[in-house]
Order: sequence, then structure tokens, then C-alpha cells
Amino acid sequence: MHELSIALNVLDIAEQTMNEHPESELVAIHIRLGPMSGVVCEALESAFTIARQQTLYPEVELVIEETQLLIDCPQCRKHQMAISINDLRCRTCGTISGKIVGGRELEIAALEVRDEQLDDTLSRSTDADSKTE
Amino acid sequence: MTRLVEVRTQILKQNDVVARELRKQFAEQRRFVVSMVSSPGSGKTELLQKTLEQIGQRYRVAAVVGDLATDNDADRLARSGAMVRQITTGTLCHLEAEMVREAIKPWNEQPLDFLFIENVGNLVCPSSYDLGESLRVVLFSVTEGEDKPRKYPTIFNTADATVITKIDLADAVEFDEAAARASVERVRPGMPILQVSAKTDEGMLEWIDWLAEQHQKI
Ligand SMILES: [Zn+2]
Repeated sequence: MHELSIALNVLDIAEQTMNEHPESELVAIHIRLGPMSGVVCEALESAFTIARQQTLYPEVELVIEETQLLIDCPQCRKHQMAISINDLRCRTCGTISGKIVGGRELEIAALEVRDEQLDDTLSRSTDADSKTE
Repeated sequence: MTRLVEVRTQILKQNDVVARELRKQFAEQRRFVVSMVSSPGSGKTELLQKTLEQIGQRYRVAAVVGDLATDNDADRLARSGAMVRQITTGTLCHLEAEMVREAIKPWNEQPLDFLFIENVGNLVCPSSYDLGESLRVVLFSVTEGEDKPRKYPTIFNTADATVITKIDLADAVEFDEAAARASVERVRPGMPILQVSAKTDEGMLEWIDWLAEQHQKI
């Protein structure tokens, strides 16, 4: 089970990034995960719910975008979907290819944050609007 | 209301950075670094012991071994006469680049032709961690079944060579070599496959020669 290490890495990077945005609150972490990344989605999700308890963000959500397994097919001469991670043949023509061009992703795409000041301003202006009515 | 702050960072960036530094260091030192991964019980330590003995006659060799707290492969390997250091991973199921860097520090000034890294016995977790190795070798024994590669495609896909071990038992377990090769081919087309028995020495010479040949390429 290395998913716990992975989850801790995710939270670490998030924390470092949030240090540059002290005015914002972290709501969710968006990651991209490939089928050939070596990380199992469900295992990472459950590890994440444990790992986040020990951080400044015990409520933060993990949003996983699962990417597709793409090979460079020598027959079709373009990027095609492979049958599966244990069968690297082209889904269209059946030719096998060792060139994986997508599906190894193990990366943080973005942090979803809420800007308190911005929200304050918004709610104040809403208040003001309602008063003028 | 929320907004997205783009990050676009590798989750294992920290490990990747260390691995890249190690790889650069190994190239400068002309050290050929072979990492070995397998399930527990595939005969990895046995093969490594024999490998150290035999390749040690021609080259300067050393090995680091990742052990769970309960194992002790390092003692066994030291009998080969090679320099051996142990990395106790505790409950961690894989080695990381930083652990390797720490472990080999005492050898930094030492001329070495080959460095072997024996990863923790596990075919899942080590796949995501680059150790800066020149070559990643994945092992499986004839007793584990021909479809092993298709059960653990990610580790086989990140490896550079497959070694089938315990081939002295092939007949006894009715090992189907063609099926095993086809299974490797599906997850990593074109990957070299070697077969050895550390017990009877069958295939050992080919394996050692093959390693020496890879070393020439650096
Ligand atoms: Zn095709």
C-alpha cells in the first residue's frame, strides 16, 4: 500500500502551494491519474481520507480525473486507445505498441480555492443591493 | 464561489528530482545500476547472491537491499564477498530515491562498476518510484504462473528486462514458457527475457554476460 505515501505527497504539495495564497481557503485538490500510474483510484481515495486528518485541511476533497491509456499505433499511425493495461494492443486495429503516450499521469492539476475576501465583498454588495430595494 | 489555481505538478516530483540527480551522478561515475523487483519468494536474494559472486570476479560490485524490518537479506548477500548495505524500510513497501542516496553515501568516492538495488518484495508499490537506476529488472519464478506479467502490468511495463527464475523447477510445475513470453509481450512488447536457475547455475552465464554487455553501453 503506497497510496498513503502518495496521498501525503498530494497534501504536502497542496500545503506548499497554499502558502502562496494565504487569502484563500482550500476546498478541493484536482488530480489526474492514469491507469498505468501504479496507483489504484479507490485505494488512493480511502488513503486520502485518512491522510487529510493530519493536515490543516481535514475537510478537503479529492477530485480524480482518470485519464485514458493511449498508445502510438504503428499501423493506424496515430494515438489510439489500448485495450487495457494488461493488453497493449490498439483498440481499433489490434496491433501491439510499446509506445505509451498517455496513461502514466500521476499529477496535481489544480487546487480549488475559495477567496474569503472576494466572498465578503460579494456578500456585502448583495447586502447593499438588498437595502436599496 | 470557488476558483481553480492551476498547479500541474508531478505528485512524486520530490522523488523524481532525487532520482534524476542520482542518474546524473551514476553516469559521471560510470556506475551501472541495476534495480531488481519481484514478489516475495521469487528467489531474488538467491539470484542476487549468485550474481554478486560471479560478476564480482570481473567487476567491482556492491549492493543495497531494501528489507522490511522482519527480513535480513543483507547478511546473506554479504557472504558473496561484495559490499552490501541494508535499507530497513520498516512497514514501507517500496524504496524511494532518497533512501538509496543515503544508503550509498559511504561509497560515493569508491570506484564501482555495478551497483545492485534489491527492492522490497512487492510487485505493486515500487512501480511508481524512479530510483535513478540504469536498468530495472523484474523477476518472477516458474512457480508463480505464466500470467504473472498480466496481473502486474504496471511494474512489467516500467521494467527494462524480465528474468524468469527457478527454471530448474519448470518441468515439475509444467511451466509453459511460450505462454509466459506471450504474457510479457502483451504488457511490454520487445522486452528482453532471460531465464536462470540460481540453484543449478543454468542460464547464469548468459545473465552475467548480458549484464556485462549492458554495462559496455554506458
Ligand atoms: Zn491501430
